[in-house]
Amino acid sequence: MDASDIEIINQCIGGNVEAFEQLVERYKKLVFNTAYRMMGNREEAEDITQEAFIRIYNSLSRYNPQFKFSTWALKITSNLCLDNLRKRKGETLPIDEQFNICDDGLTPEEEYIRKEKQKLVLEAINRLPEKYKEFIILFHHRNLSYQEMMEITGESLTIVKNRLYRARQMLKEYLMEADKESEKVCNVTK
Amino acid sequence: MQCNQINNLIMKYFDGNISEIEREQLLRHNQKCTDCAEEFELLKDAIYEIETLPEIDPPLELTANIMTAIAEQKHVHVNARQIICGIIGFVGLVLFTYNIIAYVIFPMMGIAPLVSFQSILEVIYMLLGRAKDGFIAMSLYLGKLLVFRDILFRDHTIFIFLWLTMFAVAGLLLYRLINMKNKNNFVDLK
Repeated sequence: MDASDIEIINQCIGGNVEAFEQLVERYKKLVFNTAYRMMGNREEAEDITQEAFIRIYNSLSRYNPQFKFSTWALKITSNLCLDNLRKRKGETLPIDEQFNICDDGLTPEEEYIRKEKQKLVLEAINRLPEKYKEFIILFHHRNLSYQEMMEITGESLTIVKNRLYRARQMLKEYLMEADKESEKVCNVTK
Repeated sequence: MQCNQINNLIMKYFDGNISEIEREQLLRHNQKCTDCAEEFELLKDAIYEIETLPEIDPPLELTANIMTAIAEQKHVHVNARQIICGIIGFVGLVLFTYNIIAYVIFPMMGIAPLVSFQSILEVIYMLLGRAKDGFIAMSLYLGKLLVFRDILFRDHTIFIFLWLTMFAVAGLLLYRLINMKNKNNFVDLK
């Protein structure tokens, strides 16, 4: 079970399909969660995870051991997500709420406030153009370094930095808009 | 310090490469400027939310699904249905060729449609011969072209160079002309 990634990959290339299961077990959480945060719902995330692993399996022989396997897997995943997001342009699917709960022993009130906040942030993220969404999620949710971001997106350091900058700026604007709107609603109800 | 400079510091803060001094500057500015402070808190909250989005577990059957998908994909090559389709296709092609030769090509060439297997072989042999002749003729022609090029280069090098220089000069002139036009456009704008 403790074989290194590259050993498993070599076994797979040698024709041992069962060895691939170890890789799937090792990285499915990473791939699934990234896809889930990019797409915003579970069904699509599952489809993408499956598709991503099939793609990974089919292109194992093209894997460059110079990069981390996780980086490569994320690259394939995020490309798939971008394709899918582009395809469904215009139609926005609902965000699952039941999977965002984080119980830190909060009181019900605090939990409610936290959830509302989370909802606003998730909505803002989903409004971002897919390219920017990818950057926010990879950098802030997956805590990747600039180096890894460059490898995954294939962009230069300047572009990575710029995109992140723009993405945060947009996120901020969306959130401020949402704030204003909720204030308006409050005023009307008063 | 100006607010737009502070904005840069805010971005640096979230990039995680802010220096102590810059951090001080940011905090000090935020104590005075409520707008910046608000924006900073908003973004900080949002990014904290993104960072702490819980990791969710992928469905249990995901690994099994992926492995079956990969296994099925491997068997695509030895699908019995495809083999049957291939055989039917091949037989159909042979019958079609036979009929074309016997009832179209033979009558056109004035040969009575007495269709023995040997006569068909003869026709095929003849067609191959024609193709071979054509191929040889084409090769000869190409060879002549190459020889012609060599002679041109050997005997008329100076003309070729003159010709190329003329092109280069014309290109430069055109380039200059376009540039001058562009400059005039800018003059108009001013």
